Amino acid sequence: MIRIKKISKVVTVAFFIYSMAVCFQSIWLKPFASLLIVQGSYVRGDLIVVSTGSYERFLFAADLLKKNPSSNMLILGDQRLETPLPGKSPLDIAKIEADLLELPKDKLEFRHSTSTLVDARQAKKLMKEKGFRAASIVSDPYNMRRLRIIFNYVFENSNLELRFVHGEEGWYPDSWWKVEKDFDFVLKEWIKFPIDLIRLRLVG
Amino acid sequence: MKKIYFLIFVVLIAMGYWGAPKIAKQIGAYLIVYDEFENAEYLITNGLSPKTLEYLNMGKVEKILVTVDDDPKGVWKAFYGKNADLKIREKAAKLGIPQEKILIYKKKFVGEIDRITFHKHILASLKAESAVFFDPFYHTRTRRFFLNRYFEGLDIKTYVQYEKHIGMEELKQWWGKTTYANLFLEQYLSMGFYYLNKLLLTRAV
Repeated sequence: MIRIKKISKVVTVAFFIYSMAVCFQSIWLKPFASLLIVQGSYVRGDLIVVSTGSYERFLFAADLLKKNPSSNMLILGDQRLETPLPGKSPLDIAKIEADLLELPKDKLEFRHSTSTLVDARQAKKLMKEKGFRAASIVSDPYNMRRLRIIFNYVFENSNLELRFVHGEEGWYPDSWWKVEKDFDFVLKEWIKFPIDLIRLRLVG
Repeated sequence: MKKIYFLIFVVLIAMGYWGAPKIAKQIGAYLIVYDEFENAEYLITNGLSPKTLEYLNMGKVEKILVTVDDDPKGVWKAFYGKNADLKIREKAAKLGIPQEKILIYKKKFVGEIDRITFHKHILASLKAESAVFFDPFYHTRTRRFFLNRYFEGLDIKTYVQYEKHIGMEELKQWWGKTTYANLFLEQYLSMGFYYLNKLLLTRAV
């Protein structure tokens, strides 16, 4: 009898917690996305740095370059991987895309990269080679927090200036768990965040 | 006692070190589905390839249904150029696929559920009885997962295949390649997304 009472108590509490979680989902789920977002603004003349991780961010960066023709743009992508176009890597696709979008060829730099950490290293290397003093790192909203930590780590004591910029169109941080693309992105970031932090601390 | 705890800790670390790659490989392998089939009315794909022609010539499929993600801000133009229809038709001509065998559908897709619902409506409107889906190898389990849930009750036999043959060898170290790691993870998240929205009693988009 006591056991039945205990079980019914546990079931009631569990049901209460579940009901609360469902009713107040907007309150407790929203911060998972908003904590990932960092907003900065582009400054004219900055080197624009973008990876081929998503088309939205590439398009946003391309638009920045078009509006600021005096700027330069560094495009980073993995050359080891295949895309739906046979024989073409994400970096090759970015080159084709840059042509289709009529981006000025002399303002573009393409470099091979396999991760955000390599993106940061490649950006720093190029800035030193070409004498750029400041860069705007462009990505998708949910990627910004992790991106900022990694870039700041690589650029520490370099005297180079960094800004972090993202587009907002097409993202739904207030209802991310109901939109598949946003859900995927937010969860992936929360998985990668601790892994990258540990990796930076241990390996550098 | 402390020595025993330490020993257990060392054994666990060693097991993780030796076992983790095998588990990760299995996680990757689980995502791959390849349904054998005799013949199907429609072959559903995102793009044409020599294998689509081969299936047509062998009589395994009757028509090719190409679905294009028509999102100007979400899909690389490099995949289709500025005119997707024309590019697909040109490719068909190059491969020697008769134009009348190709049906092109365009839509801005917001996710797997949207995509599978769209395919369901097309196949229902065509009164199809069977269809085979061509997908990238890592996406075949996700396709099967959503087909099982959204085609329930319809009298349409569905098969899922990947185009390129991928051996287990290629799955080794998938977690070491950022893009593959992202793609593999996305598949599990897509399935998790379905369950989370069921749990939260919300309508997934």
